Amino acid sequence: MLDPGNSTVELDEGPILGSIVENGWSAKDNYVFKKYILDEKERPVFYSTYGNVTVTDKITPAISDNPGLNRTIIIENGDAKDAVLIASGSHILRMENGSYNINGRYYLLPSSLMENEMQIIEGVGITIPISSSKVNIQYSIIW
Amino acid sequence: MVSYLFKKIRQGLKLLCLAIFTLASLSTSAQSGSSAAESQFYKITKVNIPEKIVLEVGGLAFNDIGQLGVSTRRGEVWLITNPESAKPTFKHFAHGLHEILWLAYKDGAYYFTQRGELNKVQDLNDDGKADSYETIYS
Repeated sequence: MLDPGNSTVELDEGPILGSIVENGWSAKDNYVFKKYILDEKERPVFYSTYGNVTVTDKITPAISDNPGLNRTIIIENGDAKDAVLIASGSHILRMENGSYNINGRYYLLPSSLMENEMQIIEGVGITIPISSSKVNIQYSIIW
Repeated sequence: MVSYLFKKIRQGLKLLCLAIFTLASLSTSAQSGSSAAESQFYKITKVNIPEKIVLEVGGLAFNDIGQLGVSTRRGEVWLITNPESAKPTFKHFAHGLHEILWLAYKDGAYYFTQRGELNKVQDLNDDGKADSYETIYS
């Protein structure tokens, strides 16, 4: 949860790795938290696994053009049948500036390289396919 | 026959009570004696703690270079250099943890238990502060 300017923004909960199925989204249930390592600014980088798949997740404050949060997720050894759920929502609108309104809760601004990979799944949200053995996902969360 | 059995049981109980009292008195005298004996090998030293630092100690462990690691109920780990000196140096090693109880040191890493999990904490960049917080078991 974020709490800027007396308004609360609720972010997604639960596993980010899963697969697209007929009824929507099937999240993997073998998530294991491993550790966090503080960077040079003492900001944590989180490490977790889903079986043999390793996930590195870093969230930092964006202090440049787009105030908000920058998130970088790296998935290694992922299965090509799986995908990464980067935003959950049934009402997703693409805005003129290239960001996506997620259920009216916040905006997701993907990196230019990432936008071509994104898939909007109706009733689920925005997913990124596991297209290689190392997937690097970068986007900003703006509100 | 029954009265003989009761007599034997009463005798047994008397012997048991005598044994307990004897052990208790031996233990008391042993404790006072052991304190004196222990002081020959283990000296109790009070560590001077700066007023601004509050330690609610949950565990103690020396590292390879003789710093005394102290884990606290407040979720911190302090490293005390020269703990037996008049002015020991305190380094805030790790923080943001939850009621740490127990502390151990092995191969460059501290291990401790906090609420709900066992952790391994290391200083990877050698700046004197922990930067890697690993969950060993939860």
